[in-house]
Amino acid sequence: MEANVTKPFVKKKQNMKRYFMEGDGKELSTNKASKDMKKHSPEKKGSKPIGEKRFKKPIKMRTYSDKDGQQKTQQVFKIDISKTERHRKWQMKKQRQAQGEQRKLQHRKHMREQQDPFPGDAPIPKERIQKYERGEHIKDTGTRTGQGSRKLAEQEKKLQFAARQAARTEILLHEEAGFLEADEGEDTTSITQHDLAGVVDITSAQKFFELKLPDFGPYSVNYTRNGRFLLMGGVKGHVAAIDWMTKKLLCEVNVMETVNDVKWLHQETMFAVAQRQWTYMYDNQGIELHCLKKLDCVLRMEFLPFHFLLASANSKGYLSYIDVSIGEKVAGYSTQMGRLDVMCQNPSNAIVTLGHSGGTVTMWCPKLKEPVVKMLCHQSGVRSVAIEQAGQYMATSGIDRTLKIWDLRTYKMLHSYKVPMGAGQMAFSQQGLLATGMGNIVQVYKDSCRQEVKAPYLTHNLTSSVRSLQFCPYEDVLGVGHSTGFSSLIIPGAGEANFDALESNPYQTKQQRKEAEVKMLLEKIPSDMIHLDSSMIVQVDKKGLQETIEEHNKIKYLKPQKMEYEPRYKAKGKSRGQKVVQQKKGVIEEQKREIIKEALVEKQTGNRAKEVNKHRQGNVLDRFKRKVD
Amino acid sequence: MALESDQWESLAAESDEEDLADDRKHNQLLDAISALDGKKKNSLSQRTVINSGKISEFQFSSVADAVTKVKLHELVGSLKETTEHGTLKQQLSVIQKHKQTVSTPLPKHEKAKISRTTAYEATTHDLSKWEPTVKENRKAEQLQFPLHKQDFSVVTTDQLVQRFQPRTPLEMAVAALLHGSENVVQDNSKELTLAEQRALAAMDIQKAKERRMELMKHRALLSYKELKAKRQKKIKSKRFHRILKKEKLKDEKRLLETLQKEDPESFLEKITQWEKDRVQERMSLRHRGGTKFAKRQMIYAKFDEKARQEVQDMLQKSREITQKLAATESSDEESDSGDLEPQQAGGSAFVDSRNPWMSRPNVLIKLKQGIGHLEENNAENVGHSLIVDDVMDNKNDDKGMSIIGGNTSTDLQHQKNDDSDDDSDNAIDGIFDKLKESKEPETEVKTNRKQIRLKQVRKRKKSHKSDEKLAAEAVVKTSESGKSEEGMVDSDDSLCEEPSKKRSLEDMDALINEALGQSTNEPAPKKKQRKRHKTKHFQSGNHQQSKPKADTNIDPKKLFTVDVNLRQSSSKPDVVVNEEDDDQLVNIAEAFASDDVIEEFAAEKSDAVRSGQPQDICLALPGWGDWGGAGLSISKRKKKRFTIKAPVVQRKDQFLGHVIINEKKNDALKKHQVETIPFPYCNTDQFEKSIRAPIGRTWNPAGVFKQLVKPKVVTHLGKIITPMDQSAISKHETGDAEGKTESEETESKQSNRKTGKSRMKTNKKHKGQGKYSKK
Repeated sequence: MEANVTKPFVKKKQNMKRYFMEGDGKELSTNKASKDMKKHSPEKKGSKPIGEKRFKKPIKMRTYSDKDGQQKTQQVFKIDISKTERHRKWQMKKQRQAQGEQRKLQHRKHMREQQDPFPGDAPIPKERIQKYERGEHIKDTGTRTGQGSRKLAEQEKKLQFAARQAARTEILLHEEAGFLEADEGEDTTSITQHDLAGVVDITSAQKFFELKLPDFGPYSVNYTRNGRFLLMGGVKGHVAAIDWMTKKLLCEVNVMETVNDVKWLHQETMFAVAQRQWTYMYDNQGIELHCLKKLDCVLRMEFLPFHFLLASANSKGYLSYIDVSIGEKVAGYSTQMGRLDVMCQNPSNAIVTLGHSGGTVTMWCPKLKEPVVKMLCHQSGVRSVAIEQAGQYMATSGIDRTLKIWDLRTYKMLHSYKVPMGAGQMAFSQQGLLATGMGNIVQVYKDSCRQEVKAPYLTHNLTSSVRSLQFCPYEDVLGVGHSTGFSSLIIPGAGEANFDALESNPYQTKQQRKEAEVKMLLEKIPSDMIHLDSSMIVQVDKKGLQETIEEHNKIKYLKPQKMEYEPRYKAKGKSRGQKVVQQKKGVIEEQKREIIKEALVEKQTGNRAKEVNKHRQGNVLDRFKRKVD
Repeated sequence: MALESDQWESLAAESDEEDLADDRKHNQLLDAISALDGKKKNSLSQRTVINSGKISEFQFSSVADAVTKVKLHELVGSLKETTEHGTLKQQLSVIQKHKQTVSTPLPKHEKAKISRTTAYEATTHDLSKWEPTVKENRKAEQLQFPLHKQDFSVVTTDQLVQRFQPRTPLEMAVAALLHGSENVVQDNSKELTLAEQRALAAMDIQKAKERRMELMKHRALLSYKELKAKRQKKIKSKRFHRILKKEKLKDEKRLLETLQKEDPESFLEKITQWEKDRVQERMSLRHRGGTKFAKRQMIYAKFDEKARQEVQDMLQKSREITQKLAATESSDEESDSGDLEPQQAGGSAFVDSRNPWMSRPNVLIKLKQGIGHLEENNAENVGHSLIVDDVMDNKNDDKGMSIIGGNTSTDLQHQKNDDSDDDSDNAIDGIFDKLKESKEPETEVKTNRKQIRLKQVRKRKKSHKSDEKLAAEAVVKTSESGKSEEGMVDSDDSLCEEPSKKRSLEDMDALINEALGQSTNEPAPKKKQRKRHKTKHFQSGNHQQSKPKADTNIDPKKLFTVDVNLRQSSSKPDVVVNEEDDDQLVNIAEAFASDDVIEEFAAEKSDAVRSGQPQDICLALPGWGDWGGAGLSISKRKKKRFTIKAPVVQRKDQFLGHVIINEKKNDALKKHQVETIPFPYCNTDQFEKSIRAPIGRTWNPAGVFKQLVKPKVVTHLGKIITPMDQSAISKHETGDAEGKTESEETESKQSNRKTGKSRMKTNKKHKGQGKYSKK
């Protein structure tokens, strides 16, 4: 910025001296008489001295003594200042200043009195407020006490205020998701990735790339929640984690085993790899942290970030949940549905959805042994399932080469499409685009849930068949893992345009990451709270009479045996009535306690013994048998 | 024994008497001697003790004893005889006059009780002073301790001036000069001094009087009018008001006629005004016949052909609006017509589909289910034949069929609409007819209407019956003659009616009724509409009867009938080679697919339903009149009689054949739920709504979050919180007092305005003050 520095106003000395001038054209008597003064002396100005015109006559003569002691006289003229040009100018200036001041004052007054043409807060459209309102208002705020009613009314007001403010802050979300729009007669389907990459800006163009990794077989891919890091796992054991934007490699290892699935855990510091036998956890340097023997033969995994749960489905039809924050198995159920290789999660309520060979789709929550919902979606096996971000729509594809869209609020089919080949993989983007991998082509459908689509939005041909698909969060990018590597495709309008840095920040620093981890742990939701209807938690658990009775009956009592005890008669006054009773009571009590203790111990040890011996069923020498995969 | 003792006592008393007499005499002597030197008599020595035999220390007579009671006149009876003791006599007489016995003192516990109550009252009074402060503190959203804050406000000169009171003599003198005189402007807001004002007021009595008279007259008239209006308003007779309204209308009509002849300008103005009204009317989207505008327009139609047209236009508009609604409904019904589907799916019902927090799942699901039922029902009716057809040949044939089905239904609907159009046209004609012959008596109209209604009700019943039959037929045989089809459509129509549309039609009807009144000359089309309309009513009434029919379980097979071929780009997956192979692939898929899947699922579902359903309990036992022995069954009648039927449990997936929803409660979740409503809340709804919104930072803007978690009490570190003292009350009281004074002031001002007298009084006050200040 340029600084406007003005020169300080310096008054010239000569002006100050103008009242006294030498009449006789000699030097001023003061020692300080400067050379400037000489200029003004009438002598040097020639025949026309300054004083001549204005100063008609000297008013008086002034006598003074020189420094040498000589007496000198000086004529003193009186000047009528009001008639001078300088004075006139000065006056004008003053006047102007005064006027300016007045104008300023007036302006200020005007400003003070002026009414705001748009008084109050800026109005917000009702629809926008409605968007942020959570349910209906409380109409009847009358409670049992006046104080309570007042508080409730106040709270209600606050909630409405919150909705309004939230709507108001929408102004800060300045980014918008864009889309491809075809000209008339054209079709977006015909636009290739190379066309797109040629048109978009350099940074976006760099997001279209291909990693050629032909050696280690089809790759499964996974992005972190903030969309910054990419994890790839080749079936033949190649596991690599990269910062895909900068193309910086975090780690690259070969686990020397079949890799079925890879998943990032809550952050880019850890990831889980489902290998041939067990599931392993590695850190971002590729160092093995854990071997989870509880999870064997896992085919698919899903990480529920808000619950810190790693859900895994294995080839034996076993679904298990592991809490990665405490390293414990939360739940595990045998689904009795055979090999589970189709899995997805409902991002809105953390329900895990599985697809089965019988054409059914089941939804599971960790605290119920049976599926919460079981749907018959296809006549033949289900090949893939995907659920939209808001958890309202589900897409399924089956061997029968159909792709179906379901409304998860009513469990009804909305659309059914015939596709040339069954979609082996599907994924929804944050904006609701549906990507399908059919053989070696990837098709993306826009708005396929709300309306019937006639043609795909974009398609892309790959060199080999697709193994896994995922849209990169907060980016218009679709990551595709296939047999000969990984390709990142540009899909305009796929990602959420505005990210919440407190929620998931693509540009997170190390410090922020650490803080976010703590925050996530603090805000961890217990696995109990996973339920099909996520609003259930704020509902009052209304119980019927039947239910209360049942609950009461469920509580088991341990009825101790009856005791008979008669204390021995003792002489010397020790057998008074009171004493006898006390003694009796004490003994009975003690006995009771002992019985209870024994029962408990027996129960525990018995259980443990059972548990311990569970593995030891069969012959002792069986342990030396060769294990069959 | 008693006698003996008495005697003994009397003897003892005699001897005592003798001793006493001697003593007395001795004392008297001493007194006499002492009185010789003029000294005061010793009163003590004069004292006599009446010693009747009865009084002894053992025999205290009770006070209550009337005989032994000491009476005043007995004691002071001797005073009558003496002339001395004048003052004493007087005093006594006074006492006797105002004889008031002092009440007996209360027992101790009573006294204590009273003192307690008084103390209680006093303390409550004392404490009640605190009430407002306490209340206020409780009410306060946030309390910052220490509560008492120092006042740092700067006193302005104006405030100082207002507060200033003259005290010293000099000040008083100055104040008197400034404020004492009436000729000084006291109030800056007024231009004139008091004296000037008075002078002005006194200037023209005549005029003032006239003005006053006028005012009084005006007021009186106003009050008469008001009274009349009040009285009229109180009249509840509908007839009266109707007549009144008619009169008004008539007046307007007459006015129009006169205006047209005499003052075309104002006539035009009126018209423009009406046009404006009409615009407003149209903006409000009512477009019905019963509005003010319509009525006026009817009157106006006499003069203008255009007006008539306008009424018609308006009705047309209203019909259009209602018709559109119907169209969207029909689109909902037809699941095949895909273009309209998205509107239904992603329409206004979804506020924000992206945010699950914002959605209201319960309501939505209900709505959707409702629509779904209708859809299914319709689909069943229309497309039964489709299921019979080959399932896998569904490429074009199915579509064609469904389209045809859709077309027929829409065609029928169009016909219906046309019908209704005709009806309303007739109605409009009727309106104008009616205007021409509007002089008919009211009573006749009424009776006629009644008759019509009765007839209509009968007809409706009949039509409904026939409709039901037809519908049943339609379900059984799908492709039938036109007659049955019509019936089918009718029944459909009745099912998918929504209340809004119903209302609109009713309104139409009402309008027609109102307009036509008794005109029964063209009943044919109207009846037709009525019929349709009536069936609706009837069905809604017998909702429970019709419901089970509609809510049949979806056949899971139906799921696999409708497929849409996606248009493919030029790129094909490598695996799929040719178009011709498609059929082959289909066959392969078919080979994989098995009906077993569906049947298995259906079996599983029925199992699930059965396990969830409580079983009937049969309590029948063989007894008297039964054959005994093995292998004998109890009679059916008995079984039936002794079975307790289990209640039918409504399942969530009742109407979804392809879905099994687990009905078991999640006990884990239960732990986190609230079991009973917390204290101040009245009902669950209130409580649930109160916790409906999250208050965390994640879901709220920063400012709101702060507001939401604002603590009730804030204390500052290191600041002493002293207990509340009297100043808190006084502060409150002063606040009150200020309020009062303000109100008083305003009152006084008002009174000043009202009468001159009071003004004079206040002036006097001023004067007085001035004088006083001078002193």
